[in-house]
Amino acid sequence: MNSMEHTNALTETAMKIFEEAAFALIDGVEREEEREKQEQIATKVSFQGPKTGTLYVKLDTQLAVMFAENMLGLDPGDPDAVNKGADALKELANMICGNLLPVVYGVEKEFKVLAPVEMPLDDYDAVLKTSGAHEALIVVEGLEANLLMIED
Amino acid sequence: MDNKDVTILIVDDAKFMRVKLRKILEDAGYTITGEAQDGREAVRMYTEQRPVITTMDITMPEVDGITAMKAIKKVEPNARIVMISALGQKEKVRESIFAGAMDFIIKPFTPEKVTEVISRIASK
Repeated sequence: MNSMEHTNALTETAMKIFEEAAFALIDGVEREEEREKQEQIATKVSFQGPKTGTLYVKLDTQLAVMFAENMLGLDPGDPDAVNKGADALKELANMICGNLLPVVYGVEKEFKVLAPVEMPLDDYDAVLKTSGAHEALIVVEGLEANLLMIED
Repeated sequence: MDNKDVTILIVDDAKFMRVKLRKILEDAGYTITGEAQDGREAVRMYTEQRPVITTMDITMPEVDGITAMKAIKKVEPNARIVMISALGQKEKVRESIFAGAMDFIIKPFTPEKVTEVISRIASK
């Protein structure tokens, strides 16, 4: 799989997980021109096997809360969802990584996916500058999901 | 067997996923006996509670789901265990079934998929 195919696989897998696990309606993959600055949260999940690497996911916090509401069947604005946005992000990152690895490397290859961990936003921005990173942007109801996948 | 008589132990290191599974299963009328967050706790809770069905995440820190399932099978060879994982690779599915899992659910799942699998296993 070449770099472009790898990036496309990342985008398509993330969209599939957002749609199927979080019942999200995807707007597209283009950033809105006049976007207000949003509070964000990030997580990372590492994998080990024939290839090692890490998937990084950064979401607008409001989007993470919306995902939590959808995944847990909570009403919009439920305080419980506000507290569970970060957990929803970690679970989605786990699913994206688990579903992406067979697409990129083949179903016969065996990988171990480690537990997702929260990460500082500054660390995400530092990783973004790494060469060889596969980057995806997905817009959901005007809010952004950013993903990076890097092989060690 | 009525759904309420089907007791279920949920094993997953992610609290979020335990909450989601509990909601799906309780909404379908099943009885949750407990939630374990790692393989070691799963074996202890299974031994104490003897649930009809155990849902078992594969990837967990320290003792993973397949290791925990093997330990539970030593306690109760007929234990009914459903593996749940985001990593749907053939080898993991094969290893789980070989080790005694009755079914395998790949994340993301729908509530309908979960209740269909649980209903089928409960009726066996």
